Amino acid sequence: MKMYRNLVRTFLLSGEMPKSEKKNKVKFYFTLGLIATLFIFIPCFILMAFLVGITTDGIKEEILSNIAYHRNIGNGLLLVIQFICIFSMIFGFNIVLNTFYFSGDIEHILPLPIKPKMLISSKFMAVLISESLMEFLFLIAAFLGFLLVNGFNIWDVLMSIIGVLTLPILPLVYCGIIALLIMRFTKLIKNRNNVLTLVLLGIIILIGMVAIGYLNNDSITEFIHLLAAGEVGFLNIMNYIFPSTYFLVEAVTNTNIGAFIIYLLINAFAYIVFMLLADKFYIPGVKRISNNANHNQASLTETIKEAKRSSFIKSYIQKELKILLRTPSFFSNCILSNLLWPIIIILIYLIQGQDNVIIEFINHYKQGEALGVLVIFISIFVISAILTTANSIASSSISREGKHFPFMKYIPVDYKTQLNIKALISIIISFGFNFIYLLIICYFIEASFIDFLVFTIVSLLSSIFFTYLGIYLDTINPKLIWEDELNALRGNENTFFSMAISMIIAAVLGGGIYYLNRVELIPLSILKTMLIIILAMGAILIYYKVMNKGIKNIEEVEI
Amino acid sequence: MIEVKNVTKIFNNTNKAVDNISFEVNPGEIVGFIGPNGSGKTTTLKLLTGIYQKDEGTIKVAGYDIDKEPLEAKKNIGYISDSPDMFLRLKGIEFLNLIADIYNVSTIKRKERIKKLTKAFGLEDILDSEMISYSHGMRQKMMVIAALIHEPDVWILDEPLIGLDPESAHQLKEMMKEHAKKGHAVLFSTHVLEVAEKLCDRVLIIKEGKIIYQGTLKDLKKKYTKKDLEEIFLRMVQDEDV
Repeated sequence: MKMYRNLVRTFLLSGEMPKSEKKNKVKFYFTLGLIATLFIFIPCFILMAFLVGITTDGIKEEILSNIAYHRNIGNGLLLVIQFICIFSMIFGFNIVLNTFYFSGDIEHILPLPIKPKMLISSKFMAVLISESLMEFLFLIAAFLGFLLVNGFNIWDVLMSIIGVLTLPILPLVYCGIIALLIMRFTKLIKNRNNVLTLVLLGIIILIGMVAIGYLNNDSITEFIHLLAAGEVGFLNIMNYIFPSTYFLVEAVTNTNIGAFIIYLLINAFAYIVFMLLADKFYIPGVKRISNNANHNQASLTETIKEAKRSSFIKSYIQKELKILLRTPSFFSNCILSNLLWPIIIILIYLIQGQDNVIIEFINHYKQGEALGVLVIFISIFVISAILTTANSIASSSISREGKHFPFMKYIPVDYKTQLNIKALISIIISFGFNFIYLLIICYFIEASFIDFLVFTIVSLLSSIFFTYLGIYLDTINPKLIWEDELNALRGNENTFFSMAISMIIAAVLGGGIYYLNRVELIPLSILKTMLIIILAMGAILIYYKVMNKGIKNIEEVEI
Repeated sequence: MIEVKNVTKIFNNTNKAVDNISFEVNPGEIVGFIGPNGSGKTTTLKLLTGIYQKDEGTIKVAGYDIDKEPLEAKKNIGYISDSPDMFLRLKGIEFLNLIADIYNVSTIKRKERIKKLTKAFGLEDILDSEMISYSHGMRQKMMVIAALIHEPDVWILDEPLIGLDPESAHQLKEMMKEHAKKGHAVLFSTHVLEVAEKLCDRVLIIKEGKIIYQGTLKDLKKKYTKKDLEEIFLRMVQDEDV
């Protein structure tokens, strides 16, 4: 048991971000943490509790009107926790695969006299703890929202607490089993660079399709009606995939101890199956990776043809891009994640059915109504801002260097050039995706050329501004010590804070524009110009900040 | 070629990793940097290459002050770090091209040097593979080739022989001698006293951040007769009278 605890602790620590020892940096991170808690965590928590609360309330009303059965009272909660399970699988798979097979500790731990069961179970526990923290927040909010509306007793609360802590087990067990089978039996490992991304892409597309296919309905009221009637196809399918969720909700809804025991047994059974498979397949899977060091044999006469002089900048850009594209963790998190946006937007679009707010705003826009134009304009700005920071290309640009960070220091190239190249990569990719989405949006809303131009400028400026902001944050305390590449991004406070700040800025500016236009009646044309000026000035300011303080920060970093 | 004067490096305001050291490496010299683990060898080499910032003193490489003219100084350095795991997702040829572009090496010269060096180290057939598939030794050889591709005047090598097979280690030692013969300078850290004895014109022995001896190993042996090199070294670093 002691060894198990030590192993879990070691795996957890290896993913942690080293804290800066400088007081001012500690204070800076504390302030950012406080801001993120106040403006991101707490609002998200309240929103989640509220959503589950009103859905449950809607279902309750239908039950009281004898339109629906009482057994469906928990369907709102069930839907939310099933979504959380899906997202847990999407984000967890990459982490499970990396932690189990590609982390740097494996070659050091394998020769030690540790049983495979012990090794895999401690790795599983480490992933469960580190990856479920955010999930716990949403789950607590969802259960709280439900219990407050539905009423509760001490057993409901107890079962909810245990449920929150154990719900992530089943999705992670699925990830673990898929990883074990892929690594043991498929030839995907022969092309290790693509294995993570291919599987991740597959899961995302599959889930997206299933979700879209089964969530389509007429209106929110109608949706709640369907939930109350227990006729949401998505729920029924997910009950088979995540049976534990059904029994947990049943247990909490009706204080059903029997259902709760079944819930616990399902989790225990899943975990035992996983451990049995791990005992059989884990080590052979790991060995297949180590046997996979194939070289492309090519004659020097052929290869040397590639040795051509080109500009340093071009060469450095190519290096950055190749590393981003060829490293599975970087590719899936920094590049592939940008593809999630259309799925999210289509989901939001489809889930609303006839009362579709998006269609409403598009129609407002097409008719030239101020509100439609305003909302589309703000949306484009917000999406550009969040996409740029969510892909974490900028905010991990120094962290991704890891152990070879000193390279940046001993080559005869100034930091200004190097940081600008890193910024350029982020701007090209972020704005590239933003621009594609912009084209699609403009096509659907039939935007005028002038509007298209304004949207493009706003999108480009926010990509530039949030790129340099991300880089600046990453210069303060880059996460340079990591076991595997995924850890450069995972648990990296800079990427998190960069996104949190972008959300806050987007909310403040977006809300400000809305207020000034709707309440103070300032014309939108003036507000558009103001936003462009604010973003341009912000970009210039943050650029100078990076080129002065950011460079100083880099000079001070020593590993 | 390398001038270090009264250099001190303090980590976290308390830990004096390098304590007021001064030394020179002259043109045509191979100087070995010897000392136990944690004595300050790597820190000193990192100070010379600009990776670390010193707290006191001056450092000049090829006549350029590392603080005042860092880029000029760095252009003249060929550095091998203590970790060869660098840019493993790049192919060997891509990595060498990147380094050659950074140091502005012409197409003809880089082709010529890549051919020569990869043949010398037996890497000519795997340049088209990503370096993640290389063994530790192959990666180390790659770092050596990368450090030498621009034919720098000053070589600063941190444990360059670790991980190399005997043939490649021999090749590298011959290259170091050849480089020094041309009037250039080599400073390298090592734990292997025999290597230092055979290769170095002078050695620097460092202990707890302070240089406790600089000179030839011959002089050291003369000074402490009846003792072999290992014994002298051990006694010196253990702070005992020899």
